[in-house]
Amino acid sequence: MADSELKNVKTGNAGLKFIKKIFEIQEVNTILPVLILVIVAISLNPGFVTPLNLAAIGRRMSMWGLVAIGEALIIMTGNFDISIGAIVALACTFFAVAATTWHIPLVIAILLTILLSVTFSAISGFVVVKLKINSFLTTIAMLFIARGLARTLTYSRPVPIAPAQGSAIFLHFGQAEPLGMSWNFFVFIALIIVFQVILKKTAYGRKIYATGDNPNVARLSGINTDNIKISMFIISGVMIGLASVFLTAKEAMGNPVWGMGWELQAIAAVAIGGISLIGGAGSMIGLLIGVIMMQVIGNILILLQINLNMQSVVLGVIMIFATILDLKRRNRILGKID
Amino acid sequence: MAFEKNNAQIQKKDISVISRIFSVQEVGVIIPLIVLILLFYFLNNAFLSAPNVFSILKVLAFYGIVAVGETLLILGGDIDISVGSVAGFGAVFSTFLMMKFSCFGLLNTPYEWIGVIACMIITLGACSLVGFLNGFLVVDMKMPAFIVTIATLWAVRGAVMVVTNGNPIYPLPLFFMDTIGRAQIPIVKVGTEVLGISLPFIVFIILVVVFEILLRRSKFGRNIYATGSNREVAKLAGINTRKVRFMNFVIISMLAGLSGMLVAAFTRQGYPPIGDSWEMFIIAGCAIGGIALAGGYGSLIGTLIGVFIMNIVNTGLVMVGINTFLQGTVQGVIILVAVYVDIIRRNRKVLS
Repeated sequence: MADSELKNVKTGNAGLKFIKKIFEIQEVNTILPVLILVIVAISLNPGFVTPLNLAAIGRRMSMWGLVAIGEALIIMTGNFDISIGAIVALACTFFAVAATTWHIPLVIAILLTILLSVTFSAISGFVVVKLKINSFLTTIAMLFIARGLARTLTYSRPVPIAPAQGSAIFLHFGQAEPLGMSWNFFVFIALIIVFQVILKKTAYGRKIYATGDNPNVARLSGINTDNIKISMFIISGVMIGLASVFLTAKEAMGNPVWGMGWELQAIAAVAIGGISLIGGAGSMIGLLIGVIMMQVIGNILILLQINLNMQSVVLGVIMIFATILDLKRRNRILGKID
Repeated sequence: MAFEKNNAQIQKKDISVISRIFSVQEVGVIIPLIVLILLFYFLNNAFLSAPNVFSILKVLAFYGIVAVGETLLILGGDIDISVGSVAGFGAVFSTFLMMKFSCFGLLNTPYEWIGVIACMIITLGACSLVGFLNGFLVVDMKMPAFIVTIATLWAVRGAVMVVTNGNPIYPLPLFFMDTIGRAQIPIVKVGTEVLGISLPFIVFIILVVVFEILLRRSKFGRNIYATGSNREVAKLAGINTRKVRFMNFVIISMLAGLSGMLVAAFTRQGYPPIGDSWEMFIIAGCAIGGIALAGGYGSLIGTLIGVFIMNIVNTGLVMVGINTFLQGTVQGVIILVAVYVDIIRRNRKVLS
């Protein structure tokens, strides 16, 4: 790699170097399938490009996309979190119950909701890092715990929030469509950019990559890997809290069955987005592409009026191909270094 | 003098037998099991009544059969999340064959049983194809088992739902429903109902015994342990780790399919959502039973106890009158505690 760069500088072929540099960014590999997919979608059903449909895609993906940011960060440091969907359900029902049954002021309820999801994620992180229990197993347990609490809290029934008692502003905020999108769409995009900058430009971001790539080497070079790993879980908790508040506001209720399968959807987006599932590689732009791709595929299948159940078949197949691509790419990068 | 020496030796031997019993990994898990059973019994005496015990054994066997396969797989260092979907596939595919092809023309004839069993064998073959696919992607393509089997979980469940449109398949052949679904060894008679040990439970116990012996006494078992504890070393020692892992994937898919068929026979319909979210339950059972998720450590007796604990908690909470929605929460806490205790015990063993 160094050789070819040197050659380019020598020949002064700046344009070629630029193009080469672009294609060395891993996201380019993931954006091509999206482009192909969009072209296929347009040719199959021109309704795909209507502003209404595109806005719907944006609104929908930003809801679980927020949670996927946290999942991506956790995966980057070499762990998994299966419990995110269940914690979303718990946070949503908690928020709805707090706002209606307990009459807690909205601002405080929002803060408590975020605090709750952060607490749950932090417990997962602590158990995984300090007690050294496999993250997969820990979060299965947390999944059971959170889903059980959500059901207990509401007797397994949805809790509607009536548009009264000061909640009207909140519900309006959740259901508003600025520029045809929703507020959480802008929050989602902003957070993607923020975390992209953090990952690529700060020392903290480099520590995250180092921890995921090889925790032992990272520890030996003076990085407190335990703190990094736990902080990823805490950030994920904040994301879950935000997503839950938005979701509750949009639907004007809390439902203990929400969030089922979000963890798998998020992991699939992570895999498609070129984030290594073993940790240590990937970017937020990649995740954004993965999230868009998942949502676009779902949307196309609906537009083509394909059996809804077919979606999971297609997603499964796509996930396998995404992982194969990921492995190929990693092998190529490794080959280069060697 | 010689006598004393002999005596001392005998005493030493006694101690070593006792310490050996207590150092067996399963003992650590059987204590919470006994505590839980006693606790539920004291809170509600009906917990150990014959109908309840036999109903626990019946339900537990469906999970247990799959957990046997999952244990082999985890011991070998892999994991399979797709088992629930494969169970659903087994249930729907077998009943589909029975009804759409009328058991190959043998439906409602005296030879119906041949057709039913043929359908079940073909289904086992079809399920093993899923195992081959998982094995190919994980072992040959070197993809993470966790991701691959999530993908097959979706793909298989989706395919089942697409083909059936979510509708259950019924009625089923009488042999399938009445002979296979209701077969049992009668033990007690309560009122007009005869209670006994059901066919799935017998199958489960046979599988546990056979595979436990294989794991401890045969080359097959030693290869699995070796592959799970260190694949590279196992490879260098001349073990065909590819074959071992492939075989595990095929075995678990077939067992999952078998379990799905038994559920279909018991519930008298090929219901597409059969097996939904079994994977978490089964992996939790294995983990409670002391199977190290990293591979290479654990035994089927542990899994047996783990599956028992999961099911006893499920039933016990209902009988004690705790909000059923809290079941999941309690199970989650039990998983964490069990796994943590297991880790502590193992660390202590390593230190001593």
